[in-house]
Amino acid sequence: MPDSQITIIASDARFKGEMHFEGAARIMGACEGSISTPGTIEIAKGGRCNARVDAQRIMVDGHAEGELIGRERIELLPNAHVRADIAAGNLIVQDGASFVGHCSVGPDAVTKAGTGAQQQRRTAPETPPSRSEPQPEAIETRPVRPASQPAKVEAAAPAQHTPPKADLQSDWMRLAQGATDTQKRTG
Amino acid sequence: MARQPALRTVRCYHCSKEFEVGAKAITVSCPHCYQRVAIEDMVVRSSHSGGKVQTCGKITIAERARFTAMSVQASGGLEINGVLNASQISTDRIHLGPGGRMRGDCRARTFTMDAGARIEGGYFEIGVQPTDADAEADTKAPSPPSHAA
Repeated sequence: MPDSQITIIASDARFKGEMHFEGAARIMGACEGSISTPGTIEIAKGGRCNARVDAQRIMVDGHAEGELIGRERIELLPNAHVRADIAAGNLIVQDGASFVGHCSVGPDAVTKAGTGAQQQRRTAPETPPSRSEPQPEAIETRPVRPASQPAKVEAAAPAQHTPPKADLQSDWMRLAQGATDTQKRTG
Repeated sequence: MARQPALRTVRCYHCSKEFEVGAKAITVSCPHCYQRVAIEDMVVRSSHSGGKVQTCGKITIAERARFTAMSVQASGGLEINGVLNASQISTDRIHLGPGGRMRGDCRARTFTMDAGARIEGGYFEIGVQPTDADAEADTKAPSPPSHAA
């Protein structure tokens, strides 16, 4: 790729956030956040990257932390200091490079990493329910019981010391009864 | 005129210090930490499983061979052309051949792999020199259990 199509983050630049390139990028400064490209990312000597990097090819000759996903390959050059989790189609570690982190290499590794990241992105915006909030009771999630049934089933169920198995059975009974009722009504 | 004995340099897997041994020696005591060390090269040619495998020599896992172990220490290097499953792999250099597959936590000075090789997960420490504290911790004999009530 000609130099004119390479995005360069110069050594005096610092970037924090989400970056996407269509071509190649060379990072000589500092980056933090998330970087993605269908092309090549090069973390040059002196460059620092604390990010999730997702690219076709990744070459590291500086410092990298976070997560590196190289769909085709990841190359760690002699001055590379990597403290990150790596998923790559192929990994090349040159003499002098150092790498600490979890590593999986192969075609499956990249697809797994990709799907994992997608799932993470999907679930990320939803705030997890805090434990301090009262959990909804199981009875509220059940389907609404038909009006013809309740008294009998409620009476049949033990009041307080219901073992979970018996509770489950009664649930199934109610569901089955509800289904037969709706069949009678519609049929 | 007397012939000079053939020597080779090996690195003790207990204290990580180098010393010279005879070319045909199989086991010796380390002159630095006085622990007994195996220095033979090993070749795994078929399916094999073992607990803890240690040698100052080189371990080669041949094509179509499957080697499963709790811990593998090979100061002379590790050449993987088959399958290696180990909880802990510690060596000077690892070469993963084109059909090689490995799984496990791994510590090595240098690491190379050919196209087609696979790493199926594990925590890697490549190019990180073991500190003196680590070496001391490795050589330290386990303290006897105290019988104090």
